[in-house]
Amino acid sequence: MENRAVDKPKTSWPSFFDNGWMDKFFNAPLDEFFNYGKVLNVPAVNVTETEKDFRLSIAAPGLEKKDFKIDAYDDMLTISAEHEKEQKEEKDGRFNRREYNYSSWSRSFTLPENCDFGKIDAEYKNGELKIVIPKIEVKEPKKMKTISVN
Amino acid sequence: MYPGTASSKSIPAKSIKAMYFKDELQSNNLKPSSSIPAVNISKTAVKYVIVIAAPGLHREDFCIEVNNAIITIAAQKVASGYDPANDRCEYDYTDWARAFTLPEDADGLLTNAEYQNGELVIQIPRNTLADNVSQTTIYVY
Repeated sequence: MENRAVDKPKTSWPSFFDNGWMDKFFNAPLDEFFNYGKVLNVPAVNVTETEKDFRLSIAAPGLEKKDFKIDAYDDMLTISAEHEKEQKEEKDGRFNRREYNYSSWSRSFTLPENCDFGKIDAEYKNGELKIVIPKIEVKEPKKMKTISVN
Repeated sequence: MYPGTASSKSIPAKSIKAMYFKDELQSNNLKPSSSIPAVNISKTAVKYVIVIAAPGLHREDFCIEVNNAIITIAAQKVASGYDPANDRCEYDYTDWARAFTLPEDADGLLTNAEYQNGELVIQIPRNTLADNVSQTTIYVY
């Protein structure tokens, strides 16, 4: 399964001030700004292939079932999550150290042809989102045969 | 399960350096990676809260110790059966340890820990009369 990056829609007037860094500077804790590259914003994924299915396991702790949105469109599987609670927590405590923040993210995968889109199953347990994508047999294209005319 | 019966694995102490809550100048091997979970530390008026993102474990897999003002958190689990050679493997939190030096006003003895929804939440009360010299093991609920 190959991973395809999801690009932000490009604005017609790209600007130095448009990337949100100023916003981050004023709103995020300073630690987070200076460490910006180090804060993990996107959870890690393990992908395993068995004979019957593909299994994705996403390490996204601290979320709830309802925060996830999983879409299979064309041959693209998109998993996104949005968690509301985070803002409140930040108010009553100041971060001394921040290495992860999984409150809003999205990841996409290109699915191979032999996936059964209708039977994708997902479960959130113990901080891991597990997605099982069953395989189906792909009918091989019919073989060409040339018939000679008698 | 009350503390008397909580199973605690004896996880061998690894050669890890303790990292101060806010020290950014420590060596690189202390940063989170695919085998070391990330950590958020926050401070309120009454306590310090350490949250470790370690999904897919059980509360019995953790071993938390406070000794000499250093808190060591270790975890060990039987391997999950991923084959890193064959598949895409971005994380593996089955065997790791992290350590932090506690600030002076953190009361290590009264620490409590809870594993919930893939996050290990450790709460350390703040107390100016804190005693961090003695050694304690903290059970995870």
